[in-house]
Amino acid sequence: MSAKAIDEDGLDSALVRLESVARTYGTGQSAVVAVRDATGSVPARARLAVTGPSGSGKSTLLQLMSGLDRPTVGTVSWPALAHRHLTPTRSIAMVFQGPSLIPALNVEENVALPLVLAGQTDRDAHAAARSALALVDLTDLSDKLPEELSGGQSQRVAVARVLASRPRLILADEPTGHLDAVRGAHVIDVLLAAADQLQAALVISTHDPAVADRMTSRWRMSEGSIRTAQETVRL
Amino acid sequence: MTATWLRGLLARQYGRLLAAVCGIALSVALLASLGVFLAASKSTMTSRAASSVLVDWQVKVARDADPLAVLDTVVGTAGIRVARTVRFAQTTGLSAVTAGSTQTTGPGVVLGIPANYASAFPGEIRPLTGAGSGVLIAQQTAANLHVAPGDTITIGRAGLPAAHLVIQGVVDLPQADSLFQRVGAPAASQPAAPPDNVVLVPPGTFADLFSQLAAARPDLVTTQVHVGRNQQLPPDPAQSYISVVGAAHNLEAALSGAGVVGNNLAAALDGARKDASYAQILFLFLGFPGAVLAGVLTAAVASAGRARRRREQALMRTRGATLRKMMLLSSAEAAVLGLVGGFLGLLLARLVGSWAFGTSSFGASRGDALVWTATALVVGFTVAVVSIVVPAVSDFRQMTVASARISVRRESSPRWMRWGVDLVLLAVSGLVFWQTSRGDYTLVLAPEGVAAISVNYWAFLGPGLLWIGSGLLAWRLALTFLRYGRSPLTWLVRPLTGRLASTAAAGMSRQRGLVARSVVLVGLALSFAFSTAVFNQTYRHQAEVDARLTNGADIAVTESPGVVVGPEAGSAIASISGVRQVEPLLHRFAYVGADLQDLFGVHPGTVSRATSLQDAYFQGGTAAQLMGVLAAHPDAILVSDETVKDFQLSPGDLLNLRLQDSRTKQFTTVPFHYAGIAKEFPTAPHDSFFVANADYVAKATGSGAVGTFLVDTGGANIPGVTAQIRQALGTSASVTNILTTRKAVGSSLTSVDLTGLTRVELGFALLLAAGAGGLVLALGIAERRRSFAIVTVLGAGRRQMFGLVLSEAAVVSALGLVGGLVGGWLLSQMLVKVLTGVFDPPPEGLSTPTGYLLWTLAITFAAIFGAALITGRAASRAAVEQLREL
Ligand SMILES: Nc1ncnc2c1ncn2[C@@H]1O[C@H](COP(=O)(O)OP(=O)(O)O)[C@@H](O)[C@H]1O
Ligand SMILES: [Mg+2]
Repeated sequence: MSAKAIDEDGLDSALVRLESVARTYGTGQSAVVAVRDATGSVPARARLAVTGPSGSGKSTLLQLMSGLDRPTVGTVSWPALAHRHLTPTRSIAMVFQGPSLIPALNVEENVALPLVLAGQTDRDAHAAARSALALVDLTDLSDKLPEELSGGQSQRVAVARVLASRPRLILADEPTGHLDAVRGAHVIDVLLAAADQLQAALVISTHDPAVADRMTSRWRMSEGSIRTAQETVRL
Repeated sequence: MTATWLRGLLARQYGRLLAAVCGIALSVALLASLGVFLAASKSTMTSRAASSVLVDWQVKVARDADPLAVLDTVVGTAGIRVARTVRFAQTTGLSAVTAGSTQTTGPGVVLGIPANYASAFPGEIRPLTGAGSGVLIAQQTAANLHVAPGDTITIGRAGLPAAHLVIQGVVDLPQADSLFQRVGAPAASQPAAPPDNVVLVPPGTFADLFSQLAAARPDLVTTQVHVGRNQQLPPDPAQSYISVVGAAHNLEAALSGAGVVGNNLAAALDGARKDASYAQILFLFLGFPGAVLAGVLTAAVASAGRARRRREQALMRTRGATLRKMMLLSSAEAAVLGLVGGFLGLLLARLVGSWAFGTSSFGASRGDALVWTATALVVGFTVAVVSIVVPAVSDFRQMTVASARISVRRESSPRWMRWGVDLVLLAVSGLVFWQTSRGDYTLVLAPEGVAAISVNYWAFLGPGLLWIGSGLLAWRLALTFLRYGRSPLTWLVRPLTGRLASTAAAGMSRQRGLVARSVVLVGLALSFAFSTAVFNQTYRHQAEVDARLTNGADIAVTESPGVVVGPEAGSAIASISGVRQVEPLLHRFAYVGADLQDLFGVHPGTVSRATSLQDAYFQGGTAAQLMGVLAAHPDAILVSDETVKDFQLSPGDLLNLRLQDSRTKQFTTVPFHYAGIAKEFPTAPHDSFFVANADYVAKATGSGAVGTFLVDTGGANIPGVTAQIRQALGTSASVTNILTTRKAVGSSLTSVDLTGLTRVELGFALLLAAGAGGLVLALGIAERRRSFAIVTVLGAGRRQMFGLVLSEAAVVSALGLVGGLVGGWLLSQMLVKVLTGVFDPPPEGLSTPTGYLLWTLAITFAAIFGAALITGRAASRAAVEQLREL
């Protein structure tokens, strides 16, 4: 939360920067402040864990980082990604806690979807999807429908979908929340491998210390605030 | 707990609840409106039938009974307005000497009519020329004898010397058929036609002429008491019929053999009750599918909350809710929806009723009204229960918490599809249709004199099963197309989705159940609208044809009897502004053997300029072909079916008719050659008649005297032109137009305010089509809100989102349109065929109301695309909120 990460050329290399960001849901008496006065930045290739109890604002924070949600107060910016204030959806990819595959599309089509949406041809998108699936070792499942997959498989497909779109920032919101320890660990393996492969930053929200321990830095959240920041950035 | 549950529903799902209430209200309103229509048209039929009868009862006094005693008994009976004694005597023949020549007629009838008869039964005797009372002669008799007021006629009396009377007036007897009926005799032994020769005399004169004859030959002189009733009739013609028949039986019992009642009123009501059953059938055919559709739509709306309900149920189960509890809660929901929807529906029906039928009563009687209201409400409840309780309970039974999510598993085809239920239904429908459309089947059977009417409800199976079967077949085809036709589907949606085409096609293909449901509902709604519109249009067209057939043309100028006007008078009419065409129609009487029939002389080349000749009027050729034959062979003649049978005619056979020569007034033989059969012809009576070439007839009779000028105005300003013609011609001719005729044609359904029914049905059909399109699509998309949220999160732009949503709308529209048009076309064909009995004459083909159909399509597609745009926007907007549930 302190100094800006400026690289040797004096350029701001942070992938996402939060400045005194707050997010309030609703108005008046029923208003809920999900995130308050959050400041921080995520440098390239970070391995960041966002931890905290349920309801502490982790998901909201990740959504603000992804640009899917807008802060009520403060600014979110993406200095190193193409447009400073426009949402750089193409370079950020998200893995969600719950099932996030489209039930009507099979695994390969799900993985290819972001690429097609980004304007690639069917052929290119599917080729990329197949190689992404191969990377997470799911080639066998490419023809299955999401409802035929187990929870762990679904999350790995979601990771493959992230891989295929080659983002520079991966945000994973409790990707292991619904999984047992063994399967959860496997999903984290895959996520880390994907981030390494893409040379991307990885932000994982979790309340599982085992998961958090595999990251290099940690933001602890409670009641919407980032209490401690261990910014041990290793490039 | 129940109240909390309902409050919770209201808070969270008011959109769905509102839609369900609307659906229920719609089905209730449709049924109840049709009930109102039935009530209104039934009472119209009753009053029309009652007012068409001038003498309600003719009580024939038994030979030995005292007429005065019978009159006393009749007058003493309840519900009698007026009673008059009328005497009938048979004459051996009439004759008259005019201008030096003697005319003689065959046997006839002399009536003894009291002076106050005309005021008691206005219209029964219509004065034409001369005095209105005294010694009167029927118009045709006067023509036969060449007499006019002031002339003397001779009346033949069996076994007595002839008597001489001076004619004081010429009259017309419009209801001669019933006046001269054989009272108490069965229909089969009634005279085929009323007597040609009729003289009416005051009672004193009658006594002078016939008291001797009555004593000598009591079989030749009879007495009747004519009765006008004033009893209030029940609005339903069937009930009226029963009450009138019962009253007549009571009178006969009171007379204990002294008299037999000829029940003219019951005969008219008999026809009306038949029409009433047709009206009921029309309701079933045309209204029921609409109500079912509204019900199905409601069920679709109600089931849209399924995913959410499953989640809630799963939760409740984990908290220990039992099936009983579950049933209780969903029943409470259904009851509230059914009640609210039902009352809204009844309210709507009241409004519709007063707007379209001018009545808001739900039945022809209080009991009827109760039954209708109750039925409509029960239907509302049933719809609510079927669409809410049944799925809730079945979900609860099968569900585990884990499976509380809608599945798109590559499931096997539904059971009905594997069993081919759709094909079986269609086959049975075809079979029933074939059976019912074969020759001599009647939809409504109302045997004369029998209180019960039998309706051939079997015939409903044809169109009913066709409707259901074609709906299921459309479902099957839609499912099959969506499953196997992915490449044409991709091609179809590419213009809207671009690169996303194959993804969109894959999605629709996997969720084909949802898409096919929309297709089927849109298709059924469109086919309902289509078939209703076509049927109504065809019906209206036939009513038009019927009126035109009766009146002859837009305006008919009928020359008064005895007035001789040549065809050249037509040019005077033609010069009146607004007149487009004038066509003279010759009218003569011709003897074929001993039978006197009407003969019409036409100019075959030009007759259809002023009137329309339908092919259905003729047999042995089309209208154009037979007119061509009359033109090429001037001595050709078209005759009735009956004449062909009686004389064993085959085409080209010689047929000698006797026609009156205008120069000698003698009947002379004129040779014709049989060319074809005419069943109907403009202005012609319903029974036998001839149609021949006018020029040939004029040459053979030495006169071109015209009976009727048919005037075509092109349908414009008919009342105005009628008034002008009347003014120009004075009283020498009677001028009638199609507008007044249309109102007067028969007591049949044709004249019942089907316009009201049409308006209501077309309105509902439109509502249903738009509702089915818009709602179903919106619901389908709402059910996949999550998917759309994910697509948004994955970076779909606005245009891509709309592309996805609109492509589904396009597929639903295109497939629904194809299904609706094909199904609707088949259904209207079958409806018109099955309901042929309603039409008189039967239609030549279907009339398509293109304007209405285009509007329906436009509004339906607007609803579909509107719903797509709105839900598409909502889906992409709500993405962030949806994320919480991801
Ligand atoms: N869409 C929303 N509307 C209202 N309140 C919300 C919404 N999303 C989150 N909240 C509230 O904001 C707070 C933080 O939620 P969230 O960010 O999901 O925390 P976490 O992911 O750490 O569990 C919670 O109290 C939650 O109830
Ligand atoms: Mg969370």
